Amino acid sequence: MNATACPELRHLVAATGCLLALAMLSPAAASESGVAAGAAGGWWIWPLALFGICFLLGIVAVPAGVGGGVLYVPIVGGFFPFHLDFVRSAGLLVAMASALAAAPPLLRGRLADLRLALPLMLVASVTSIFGALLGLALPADVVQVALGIVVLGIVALMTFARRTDAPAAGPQGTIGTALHLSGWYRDVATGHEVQWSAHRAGWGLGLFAMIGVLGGVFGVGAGWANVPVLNLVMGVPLKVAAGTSGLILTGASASASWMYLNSGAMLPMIAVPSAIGMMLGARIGARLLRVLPAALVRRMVIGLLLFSGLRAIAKGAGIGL
Amino acid sequence: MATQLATRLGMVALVATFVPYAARWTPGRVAPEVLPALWTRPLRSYLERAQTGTGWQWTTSLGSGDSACLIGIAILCAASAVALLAALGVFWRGRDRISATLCIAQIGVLVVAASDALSR
Repeated sequence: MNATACPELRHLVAATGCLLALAMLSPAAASESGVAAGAAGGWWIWPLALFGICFLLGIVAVPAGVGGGVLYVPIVGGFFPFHLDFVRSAGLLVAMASALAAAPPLLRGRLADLRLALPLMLVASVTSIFGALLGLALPADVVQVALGIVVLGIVALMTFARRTDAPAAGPQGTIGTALHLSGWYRDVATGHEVQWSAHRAGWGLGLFAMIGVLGGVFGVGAGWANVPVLNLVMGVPLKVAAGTSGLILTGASASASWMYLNSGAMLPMIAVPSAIGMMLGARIGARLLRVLPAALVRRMVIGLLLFSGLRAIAKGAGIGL
Repeated sequence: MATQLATRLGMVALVATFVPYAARWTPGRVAPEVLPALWTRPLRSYLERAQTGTGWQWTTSLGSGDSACLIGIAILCAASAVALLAALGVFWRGRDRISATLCIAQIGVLVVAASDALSR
């Protein structure tokens, strides 16, 4: 089914965009009356709105090629009345749950490589713990502004970064050889086996250490950073990079999630409807991936992230937006 | 397989504990109608007012709906460790000592993170 031959799908995309916009406006307008809503017995509006928003985010995240976590924290943090401490912990749960659900089929299809993931996961897990501690210690307005800057950086990455399906092979190096950072997968499109080996492993480990800190501080899954590092720096084919990124997230997000859980920042009324909504939406998004115009959805998501990033900076700086 | 089972178990536990909590069939340590006044506050302020505790204290109040919800979250957080244990066995039998060592180290990191030793 082709989206251009199926106007209903275009309408779905447009409706999704409108719903997202309306949903963003409604909680923002109601944020000042959040306490009143609670006192009047309307507390249930918030988990319901969260579920609905996350369901929509889950639908668009897959075709846009981004993880749910990177959409969740800036959007929910910018437009809902929840403090960023709770949003970040829920964001980690969302990212982790999505990664856990996606990992097994990717491993079976050899599009995620455990030997490649393990050293990177270990480094990112350790630094994400420190990131979580740092994030909880920093003032919220500082984290909010920094989050906005990071989101704008993600927008730039999504807009300008090139990706290589089959990057040029380079010498594997001592670390790559010792850790057996190589493998193969069967390209479904051609039916051929594709051999690959990762190089510049030292650089990769260093960059993943930084990525882990970012993930822990901001409560976002780091797929937006993992994939470019794996693909462009370490020379891993794009499909394996994307699959292995999810595998790395299962460990790194889990480490940071434990820190937020133990700190008391994991509020079920925020975290649970978010995770369930996102995972249900992602299942639909995965089915729509074949027919939705991915480029259009991606541009829509980039626009949404751009606005969310600017709003986060404005919110942290105390400027109305 | 291990990851899938753990993930599904975690999601089932999330839904099974959240629905009664949200429907007010089980009481929470913090009443839902009080939450909107608290979740706008920083974590430290929230903990002072809600008195929900930190670390593994939630396991002492599993009769509360919000504490019970954390079971599913903990299962999801532990799911990657379950998968790593399964992978450890495969690597060990295959005499891949380096990968087995990395598995053990990663499991160790998760255990330390879960232990609440660092957040004090």
